[in-house]
Parts: sequence; C-alpha cells; structure tokens
Amino acid sequence: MNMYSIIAAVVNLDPMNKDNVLKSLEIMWKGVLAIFVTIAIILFVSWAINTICNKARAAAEKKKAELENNGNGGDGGKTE
Amino acid sequence: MDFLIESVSQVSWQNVLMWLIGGILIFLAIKKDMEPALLLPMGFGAILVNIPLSNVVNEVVDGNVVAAGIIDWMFEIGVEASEAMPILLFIGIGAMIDFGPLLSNPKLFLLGGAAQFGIFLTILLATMIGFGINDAAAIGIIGAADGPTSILVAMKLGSKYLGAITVVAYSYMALVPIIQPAVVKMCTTKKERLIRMDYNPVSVSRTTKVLFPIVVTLIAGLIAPKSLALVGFLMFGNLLRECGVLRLLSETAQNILANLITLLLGITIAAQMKAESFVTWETAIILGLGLLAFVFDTMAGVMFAKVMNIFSKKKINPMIGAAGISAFPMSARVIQKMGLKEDPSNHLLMHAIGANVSGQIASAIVGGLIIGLVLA
Repeated sequence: MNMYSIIAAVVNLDPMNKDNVLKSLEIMWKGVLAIFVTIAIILFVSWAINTICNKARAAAEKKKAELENNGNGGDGGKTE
Repeated sequence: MDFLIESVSQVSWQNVLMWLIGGILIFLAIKKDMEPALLLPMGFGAILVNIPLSNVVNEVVDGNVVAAGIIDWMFEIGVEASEAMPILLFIGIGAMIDFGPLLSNPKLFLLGGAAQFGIFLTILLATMIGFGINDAAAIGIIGAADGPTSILVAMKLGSKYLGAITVVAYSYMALVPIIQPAVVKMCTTKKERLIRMDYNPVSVSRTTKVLFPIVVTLIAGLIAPKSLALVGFLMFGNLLRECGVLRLLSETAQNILANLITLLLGITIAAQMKAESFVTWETAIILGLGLLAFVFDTMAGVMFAKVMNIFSKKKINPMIGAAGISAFPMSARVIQKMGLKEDPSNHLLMHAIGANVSGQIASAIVGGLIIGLVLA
C-alpha cells in the first residue's frame, strides 16, 4: 500500500484511477506546449511591434529634424 | 421559550469550527495584513453562513428552495450563472498593470510561462491521490496564484471544492512573502542570488502599449479560446489604461470597480464555506496540494531562469523566475526585497515586475487551456 492509497483511504476518495492519471499527463504535455507556443508568439509579436514603432518614430524624428534644419538654412539664406 | 434556543440547539461542532476558521481569517486580515480585502469578507461570511437557520443562505425543504438567502443568491447570480464577478475583477486588474517593464525586456515573458508548470504537476498528483480529473484540475490551478482564475476554473469544471479552493488560493497568495523566499533560497546559490541585472529599458512607444492588449487577445483567443473571458477582460482593462483618452474610466476600473467586486466577491464566496461541505478531509488535502502547487511553480520559474542563463550572454538573476507566478505585485516585491538583502545596491524590482505581469497573462491563458483540455 503506497502513500497515495493510504491518503485516499483516509479521506474517502476513490482509489487512483489510471485513466485520470493518463488524462492529467495528457493535459500536462498539451498545456505546457500550448502555453509556451502562445507566450513565444506574443513575445515575438510584441518585440516586432516595438521595434517597428521605435524605428518609425526615430525615422519621423530624423525627418522632422532635417526639415527644421533645412527650414533654418533656407531662412538664413534669405536674410543674407 | 423553545424559540429562543431553536438556533442554538442546532449548532454542530462543524459550525463552531467554521466560526473559528472565519475568526482566523479575520485575524490574519487585520493583524497580519494578509490580503485583508478578501480574507476579511470571507472570514465574516464564513461565520455568517454557518449560523443555523440563518436567512443569508437558502432555506431548503425537501430539496426545494423555499426562501432565497442573499449570499446564496449573490453566488448564483454573480459567480455560478455567469462567473461575472471574477471576470469583471479582471478589468480592474488589467487597468492596474503597466506592461512597460515586460515590453522593454520581452524575454521575461518566458518566465511567466515557465512558472505555470507547478499547476500541471499538482493536477497529476491530485489524480494520483484519487481526485477526479475535473476536481484535480481545479485544485492544480491554485498554483496560478490568481484568485479570480481559480474561481472561474473551479466553476467551469463544476468542482465541488470551490469554497476550499478559493480559500486556499487566497490564503497562499497572502503567504507568498513566507513561501517564496524559502523555496528560492533552496533552489539558488548565494552567487546566483548576487547576479546583478542593470535596468536599461528600451523605450516602449504608446502605439506598442495600445496594440499590445489587442494582439495578446487575438493570439490567446486563437490558440486558447476558453481563456478569452479572462485574458480578454484583463486586456480590455489594460487598453482602457493605455489608450490615454479614458482616464476616468481607467481610474474607475482600477479603484471603484475593483474594490466593489472584491468587497462582494469575498462575502459571496463564503456561500461555499458551509460546514457540511467545507469541514472534510478533502479540504485538508487541498490545503497541502495548494502549497505544493505554489512551491512547484516557484521552483519551475527559478529553474527556467537558470536554463535561460546557459544560453544568454546577459545573465538573469534566477530569483526573477519566482516572480513568474501571478501574485501581482506581491511576488515582485518579495524578489526585490530578497535581492536587496543579498546586495543592497542590486535593484531587481523592474525585472521582477516584468516577470510578474507576464505570469498574470500566462496564468489566465493556462486557466483557459485547462478548461478546454479537461472538457475536450
């Protein structure tokens, strides 16, 4: 009699059901696989969105700075 | 004069034990400041529903309800019929969470996923002890360290141990500062605990923060549709926060909505703490399995961080892995304190918060996955 069957007897639970144990193992592998696949996709997509947004923002800021420089240069030319 | 002692004469030792348990929960809430917002209403509710002839519970004659009791009614409407209370609470939780630290270091996502492993191990143990698969899955989800998810999974799977599972889940969440440090110390060396992690956040644009909840909802929904009630409402709350145009709604969700639901949820769950269904050996076993679930989850998070260190140039302090359980923000604070204890200049809080909010998403997804896999 192992520890589990002693506990089961004391607390009036059903004896260990092999089908339930097999089902729990199935839940384990499927669940672990699914959570890592989901997390990996979220990780990749978040990284991609952040990278694209940061690049777009940097490009916009660069363009804005260039326009401002050009604007200043043009005005300077006129006044001279 | 019999009417004066009608109720007293029906008091059983189980009722008295439940009053004591209620008293202990109230004591822990007030004196030890352990999850007072939940343990206090639950403790008072446990006393309330265990007074014989109380009209807060349904009056049943020959199996028929002849008079509805307010706590049973709130349970039937707010939890049993639609799981509205735990799901609505997720809007508030989502509005409270800043995913910035996680988005600036996305590899922390993996720790949130890894720290859910204990749930599956506990389900296996519970079936080996003799619990049916539905009850075992509901017990395992205690390891998610997430009260609303535990309630929802237990409800969806029709577990008869809902009361015990909820009490155990919230009690252990309150005990995170005691459980986690012991387990983390057991799994790490002094040298590992001293690993420094500089915080150089990559700037996270507002567009990313707005898109994130929508993207997570789509991905989680497509892979684990049964998790959408939790993940969707969590992300809806977060979208309210990040959109920047609904400040009042976001504040309402974070404060008024979350407080109101928490207040009612605690006392409503007490409907499941009636002596006849709560004072059983199974409750004691669930208490033990719940502790194991927390321990296994913490260990899995720490061990996974160690594995990541094998492949990573920038070393991760393995203690961060323990914050991958979703007891937010308590677990992150515990890790910060542990880090400072080892080296007063090593601030791990932002990294731990990143792992912690990842755990929040992961536990909601795992809850949905388990519902789907068990009912399949």
